[in-house]
Amino acid sequence: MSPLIPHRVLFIAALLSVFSLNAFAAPGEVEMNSFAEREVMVVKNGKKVSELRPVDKAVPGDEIIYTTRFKNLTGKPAGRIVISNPVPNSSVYVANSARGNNTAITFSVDGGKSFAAADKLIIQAKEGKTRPALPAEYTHIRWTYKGDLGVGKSGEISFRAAIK
Amino acid sequence: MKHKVTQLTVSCPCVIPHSRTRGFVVAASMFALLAAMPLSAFAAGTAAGTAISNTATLECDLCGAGGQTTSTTPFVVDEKINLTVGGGSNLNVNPGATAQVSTFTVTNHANSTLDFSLAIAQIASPADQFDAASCGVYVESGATPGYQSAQDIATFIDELVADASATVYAVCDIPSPLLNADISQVDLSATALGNFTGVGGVYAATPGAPGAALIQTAAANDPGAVDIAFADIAGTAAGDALRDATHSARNTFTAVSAAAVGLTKIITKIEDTLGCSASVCSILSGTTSTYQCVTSSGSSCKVTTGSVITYRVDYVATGGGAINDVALTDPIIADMTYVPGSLTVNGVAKTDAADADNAAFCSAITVAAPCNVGAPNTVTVTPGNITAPMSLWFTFRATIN
Repeated sequence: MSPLIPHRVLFIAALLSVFSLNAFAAPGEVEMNSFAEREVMVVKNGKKVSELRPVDKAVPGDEIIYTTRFKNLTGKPAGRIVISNPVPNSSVYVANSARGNNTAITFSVDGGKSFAAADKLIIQAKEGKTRPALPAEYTHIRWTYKGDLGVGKSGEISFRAAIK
Repeated sequence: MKHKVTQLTVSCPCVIPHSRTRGFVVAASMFALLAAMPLSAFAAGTAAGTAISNTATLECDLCGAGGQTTSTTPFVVDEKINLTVGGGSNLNVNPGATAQVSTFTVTNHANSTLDFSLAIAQIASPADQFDAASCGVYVESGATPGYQSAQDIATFIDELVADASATVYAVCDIPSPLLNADISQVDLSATALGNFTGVGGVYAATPGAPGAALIQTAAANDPGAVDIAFADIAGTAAGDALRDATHSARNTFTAVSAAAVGLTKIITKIEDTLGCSASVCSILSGTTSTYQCVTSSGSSCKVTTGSVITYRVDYVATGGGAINDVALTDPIIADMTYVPGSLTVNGVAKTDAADADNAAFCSAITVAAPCNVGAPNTVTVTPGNITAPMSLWFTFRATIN
């Protein structure tokens, strides 16, 4: 249970489909799009630069960058925006990779039941001892937007996960 | 390192809110330490064909009860072809030996079962001095550990699962003659093979038969299909490059030639019955049989009846390899008598008895070693089984009758 969301209102009827470009949000929503990309080295003007490309080749050990963009189409400032994202299957969170302007980022190591900042996550070890959680043990990531998202404004959050 | 979290009220794995614990300064510093560790290697990793997608959920004041979700298009994990051949070992061989077995290990680091073809190649001179001949390559069957010519007959690795290793033997004949320490180096190359069928690119097992050669998928490919990506490193064999589905390693055969042995015997001291003792001895006339020993003042002692001669015998085995049942015998000539208790080996006194110290004065031939060889009245030293190169020396004294 999250104390950050005191009440919920059903806003959309159908779960959005699995496609990344589900851009046809009905007016009045907070629109969301997610992308899975890879950093590849390309030659531009004779220089090697890194560029994000949609995932084509992906083998164990590769890092995938997951980005979600959101935009307030409700016509009113949207408050208490919380985005949560499980670490994808067969993947492991890459330490210090979560990004998001104007957000507080917390993590879960118990399947999303509870969240805490990275330096406050603790795993109970043997014989009553505890230890700090490793980034590889994170199960969920949560971004809590600070303040309201203005009308027509958008935001972006991202993280990296390596394929096991 | 100790840290002092004293209140534990949540079952594991768990998050303990800040307000309910103490000692977070220590815990946080430990976290920083652990976070600096690299991600563990993923071994063979997620199986090829696994679909991965990401789902984000957004909740807000104006959003629905379940929030809004968005997912990425699932992409499938591609086939990562990776393998290593382990070698680098040396085998000492005798010139002319046949069926000498050099062992390699092939490990499948791909995220799928694969077959592997095998090839052995001699490296070019002058990096080595000879070529091992008639080399065959065989895979350990697992029935009996170690190379068994009747059991280990497969010439390719069949259906090696991800992360598993196979033992491969290169069985070669050694030419003759060779110089001691001549080497022959051989490279074992293993190449991944496999059949990937259908749209999903699922590995299709072909038990008993090698799979097809793999072709790396070109850059433009389908995120929804299994592509093949080569990820192996370059090996030792000529032409074995990075990312070519082949890896190789090198083993060495080193010749140990038949050892050569040498014996020398010299007089190191003469003592006469009048108390003269001469211990500076040299060959007098260019032959090994005529010695002159002088005292510290330069005079010679008389070699007459009753004079005691100290002899030193040096044994040297050169070259390489094992020599078995070495026995050194020095018969006391008829005009002389062995001085009891005078035998030393490498400067260490030995008993005259035929016992476990491998040195004896044998007054007669007996059944007990070392007096079971040679002739009566013989000094016998038996180092037994030795490995060249080695040397030893022994001394004894005898009185002129």
